[in-house]
Amino acid sequence: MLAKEFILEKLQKLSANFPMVEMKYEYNHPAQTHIVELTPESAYYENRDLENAWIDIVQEFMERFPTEDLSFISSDSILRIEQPEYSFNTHLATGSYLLSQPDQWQEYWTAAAESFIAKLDFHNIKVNLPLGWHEYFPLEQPRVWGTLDSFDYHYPTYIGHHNLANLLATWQYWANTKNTFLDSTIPSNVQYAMAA
Amino acid sequence: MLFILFEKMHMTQKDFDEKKGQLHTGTHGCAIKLIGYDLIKKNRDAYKTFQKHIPALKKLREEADYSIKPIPQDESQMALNASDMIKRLLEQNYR
Repeated sequence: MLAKEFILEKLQKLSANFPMVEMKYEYNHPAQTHIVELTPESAYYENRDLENAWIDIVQEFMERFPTEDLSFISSDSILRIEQPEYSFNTHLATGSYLLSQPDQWQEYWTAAAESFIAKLDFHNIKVNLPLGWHEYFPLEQPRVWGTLDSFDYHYPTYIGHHNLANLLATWQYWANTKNTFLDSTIPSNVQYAMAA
Repeated sequence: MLFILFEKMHMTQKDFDEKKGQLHTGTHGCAIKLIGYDLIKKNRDAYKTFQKHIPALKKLREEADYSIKPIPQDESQMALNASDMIKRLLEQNYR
């Protein structure tokens, strides 16, 4: 088995175990290294299970392919991958995968919303499938609910996010930049604050 | 890195030269690999930082030595920071 085949086989399994993490692969010739980029950055820096899993892969890689090099990075590296040879969990960038699998999306999005919104001081996250919602006729968007208590701890404000696409865009922006969601460069239609 | 290999890990020059042959690599590459093998067993957090910055430095070094492409100031600053970080990390793990 070639080193690249080994890596792709491992990434196939890793991406299935961590469906919230996008994984890209390329061989970087100037660095003479197989590069795997994991996004969002929060997963790369904070998810210990993911970290242990990929370090196990590197360890096995070292034993099997001692003359080659493998490195796991995130999008903050100068080696970040613009045009991957292979990608896994790319549905995170478009959301189309979720929308095509209505049976799975509710649980999936609850986890996604929790991991994202928890960082913005929202709690008690719930994703509700609106009555009458259908994947082909999404007249009413799924709703993400949470409690915002960063402004006034005595009187928490309930907010509802009605637009899955906006949530995804905001989340993606946040994952890419690690800036807060109220940055003025975010288009107004993607601004997160929604009245209750 | 050679100091760590020879003084802290008690590797001889002969062992190192043999490893270079086995790994089909030069002095820099071999030292990086041998430290990496040891660090991944010793301290996974340190290894994570090490393996992230080393290929970035290799890329910049390759471009600096073998191409006329200018290196942007932020990348050269990043390289200095990464080098310092690796130096500190090695000092902490190989006292």
